[in-house]
Amino acid sequence: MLVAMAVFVMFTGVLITSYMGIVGSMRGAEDDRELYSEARNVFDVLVQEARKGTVYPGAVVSECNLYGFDLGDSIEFCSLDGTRKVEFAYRDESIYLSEYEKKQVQGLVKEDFVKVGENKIHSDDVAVTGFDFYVWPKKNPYSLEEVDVPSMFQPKVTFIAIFERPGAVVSLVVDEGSVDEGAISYDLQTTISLRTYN
Amino acid sequence: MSKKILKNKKGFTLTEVLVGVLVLATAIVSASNLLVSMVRSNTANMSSLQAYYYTVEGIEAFRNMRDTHFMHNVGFCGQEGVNLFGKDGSFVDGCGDTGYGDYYYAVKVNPGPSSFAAVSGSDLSASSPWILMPVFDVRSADARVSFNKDISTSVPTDFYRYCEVVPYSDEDFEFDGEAVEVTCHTEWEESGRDRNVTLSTVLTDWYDK
Repeated sequence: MLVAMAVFVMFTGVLITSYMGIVGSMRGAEDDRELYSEARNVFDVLVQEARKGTVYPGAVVSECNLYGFDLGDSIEFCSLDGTRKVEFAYRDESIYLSEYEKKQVQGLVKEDFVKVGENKIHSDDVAVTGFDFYVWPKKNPYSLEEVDVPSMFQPKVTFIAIFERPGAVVSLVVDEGSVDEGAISYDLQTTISLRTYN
Repeated sequence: MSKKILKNKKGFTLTEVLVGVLVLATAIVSASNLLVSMVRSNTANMSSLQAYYYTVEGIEAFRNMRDTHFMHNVGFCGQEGVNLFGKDGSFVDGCGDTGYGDYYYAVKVNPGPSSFAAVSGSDLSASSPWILMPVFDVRSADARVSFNKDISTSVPTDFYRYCEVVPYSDEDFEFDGEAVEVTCHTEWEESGRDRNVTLSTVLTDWYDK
């Protein structure tokens, strides 16, 4: 009877441990997939907006970031016609997208941008523990003052972001066939050459 | 019926137990292998995404060069060791056969704050942020572009990127120096296997007529 009970307990132990391990790994894999999905979505939005706009004022825009300014924790992209701008702001380990528009009154475009909305571009399950952007060059190469400077370059913006899923234990394949568990973060980096030809 | 069951005192034979254990072990091992594959697939997906954006950066670098050259009204030239930017006389306007199709290029960008107008608005160095170097062995140290895992720690990743530039022509488009095909590759090793992401595009208006 005791032997039978011992065998039963051992079997049950193996089963429960295996079940727990499998469920834990599946949850980790699910977290991993969600992190991937969120990171990809955030970068898609950043890249699309960078390709659609410009970071410095064109002929008609007067309220976007100037080169050489301290960009702080936000970067703005103006549409090429100057009637819309978006702002990516980084605060509390999150990236927020704010949209601004210039309203039309009796057919005339008003000068001031009006904020039409703000959204966090990722879910609360994902934390952006680092977000940096770099703008080159420092000054608008198409401005009258800089246009003849031989060292001027076509504008570009570099984004670097680190994504984490707080509280999640993400599984990592360390070596052939073995799985290790631990918190993990993913960093993405890319650069977009702006499509501004003034 | 219930009396029959109570009276049945036959247990399992050793063979039956062994078969049961074998079936159970097989099921557990299969599930574990499936999980390892799933986790590895997730990791590979994320690496591919990282590599994709590094590769996009390579393509964008050439677009940036093209636009910069267009801005300065000069042509493309890929001479060895020459910084391709700026009207500083360091490259020839219209370089003929040299530089076309002979090289792979390592597009090196220095993402450190010293080379960019960073968030802090730090001073810029006079050097170009894009450095284009011809390389003959894409796996050499020269070709290897170091991407840091973390901006603050400067720990390099396993990714490296190189690009190739060839004149572009097809049956509808005869090469006249205006179009080049840029192909960028990002390679890395994962679980003992070589992996890569490749992107290609055609960029026109390279040459100032």
